[in-house]
Amino acid sequence: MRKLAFVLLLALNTVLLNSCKEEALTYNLTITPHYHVDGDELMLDTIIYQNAAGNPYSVNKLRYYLSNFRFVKADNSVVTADGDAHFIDAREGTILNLPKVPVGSFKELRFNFGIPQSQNVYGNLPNTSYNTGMVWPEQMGGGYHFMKFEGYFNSNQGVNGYAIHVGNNECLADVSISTPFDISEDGSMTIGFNLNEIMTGPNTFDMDSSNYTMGIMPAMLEISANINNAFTLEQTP
Amino acid sequence: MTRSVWFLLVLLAISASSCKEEVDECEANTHPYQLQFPDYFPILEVPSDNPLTEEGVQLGRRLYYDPLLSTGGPREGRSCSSCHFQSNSFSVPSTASGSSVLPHVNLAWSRNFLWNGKLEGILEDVMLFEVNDFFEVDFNLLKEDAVYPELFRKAFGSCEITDELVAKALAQWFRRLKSSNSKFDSYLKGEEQLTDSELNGMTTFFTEKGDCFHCHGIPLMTNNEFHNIGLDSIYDPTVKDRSYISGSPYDRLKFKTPTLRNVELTSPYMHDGRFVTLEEVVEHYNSQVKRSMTIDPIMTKPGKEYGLQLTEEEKQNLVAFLKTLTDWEFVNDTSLSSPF
Repeated sequence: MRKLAFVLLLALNTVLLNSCKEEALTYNLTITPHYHVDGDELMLDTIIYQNAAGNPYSVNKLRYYLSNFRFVKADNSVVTADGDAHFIDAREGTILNLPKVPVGSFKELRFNFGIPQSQNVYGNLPNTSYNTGMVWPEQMGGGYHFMKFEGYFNSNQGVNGYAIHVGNNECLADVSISTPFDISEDGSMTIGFNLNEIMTGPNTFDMDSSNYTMGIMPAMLEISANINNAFTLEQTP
Repeated sequence: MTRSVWFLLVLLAISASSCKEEVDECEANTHPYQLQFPDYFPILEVPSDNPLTEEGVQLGRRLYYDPLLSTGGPREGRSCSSCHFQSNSFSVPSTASGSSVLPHVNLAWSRNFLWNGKLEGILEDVMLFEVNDFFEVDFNLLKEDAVYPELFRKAFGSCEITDELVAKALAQWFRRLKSSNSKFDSYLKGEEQLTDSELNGMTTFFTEKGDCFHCHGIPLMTNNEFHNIGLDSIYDPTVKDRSYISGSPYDRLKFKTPTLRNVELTSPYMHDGRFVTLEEVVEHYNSQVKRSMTIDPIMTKPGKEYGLQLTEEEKQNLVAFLKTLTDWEFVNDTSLSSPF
């Protein structure tokens, strides 16, 4: 009888502990993307930057999705804070708001650049004007653009436009930032996004060779492979 | 009777009179208006201080069709409907200058207006401009009218008629000018099949072959942004393009993407009305694109440097698909016609 009571108490304790764990995932975290080009603050609409291929370029449009934020603890356990896909427009200075994040110390931040396959279906995201503006036609695989990165560059023939578009499930990029950080209640975090890294490391994108990527799977995969190096953790609470 | 009794009686009378219900002669009498559109349309954002009501929409409709709006102003004798014809999807079939005017359709989802985006904001902001600057409405005429004061009272609970309320009524009407029931919509909903020609045209439209979808994507068939599609190679500072508004040289030769909904009915095409037929428009993209600094990279991407290079049949199919975007219910709906 005593044994049974002990087991029941132990079970109750486990349940209570688990419920406490769930409660810990109820804090807000705002994430502010900080755009720069190799450390220079982003100034839109002006050809003042130079990429690894030597193309002088401007940034006129940068819209993309981040999703599936995960926080890795020292013991390598991973807590998924938010599975949603967040639309971000650099021109509008979009700030992410994750409603459920764990509080504590972490060794690594992980997220996806793009939209996970399970959500990358037209009509799956809320039909905001932002999301409908990112639709990827059914005839080309469906879902949404993961990124629209556009501007102008000084080409061999004078000023020309470029459009780096990435989509399709194969191009979903895993991003991991191995910088230790702490999160407290209702905290905020700044992640750096170096736009030059979109076009280099490991794959150098030369606008003079091609100023367009959509529908060109090898080009989109190369851009996707570059993305992981583009993000850094700059500031936590 | 003692003085205290009199005092009590007076007090009672005052209390009784205060119980009388005050009648507000300017009280609104509205009924919510439910705007129906497919679930794949963007969420409709309506300002909380101007919800859609039956009374507001009907008042806006009357104002849209009433030349009283312009009486005494620079556009004397004209209403919105004097130029924007329902049969042309509320576009303007021809103008004195030969230019074209964007249609009044699905503007509820736009935040910039006119070919160069001169007007920005929500519909209430734009209508305020139309009321005060375009028509220069004489509000005394509306106040002295036999019908309007009662209509404004019912719609907005106001005994006054102000520019703000006229703008609000027109904004409600413009939200009502929603087109979402074309053959293509029926196809998307699985209710109707397209012909082989239309299907082939749709494939061209929504793939890299035609690449129309980047600017004319579903469901609005416009991205409400500004692009240079290679109509001209030389910037003409007298043409009021997007750069005229933004001041940026990177916006030269750029104009707002028009919706392709009901495009069959909205000739002439382009900001200057240079094309009359859809075949001419398609041919532009096919072989007549002119390069310039700000041309959209989509227009000159690898393999398409000299236009789309479609065959005659592919061009015909593309036009056939464009015609599936016509919403005949919208252009024939008598509830959208003149109330006079």
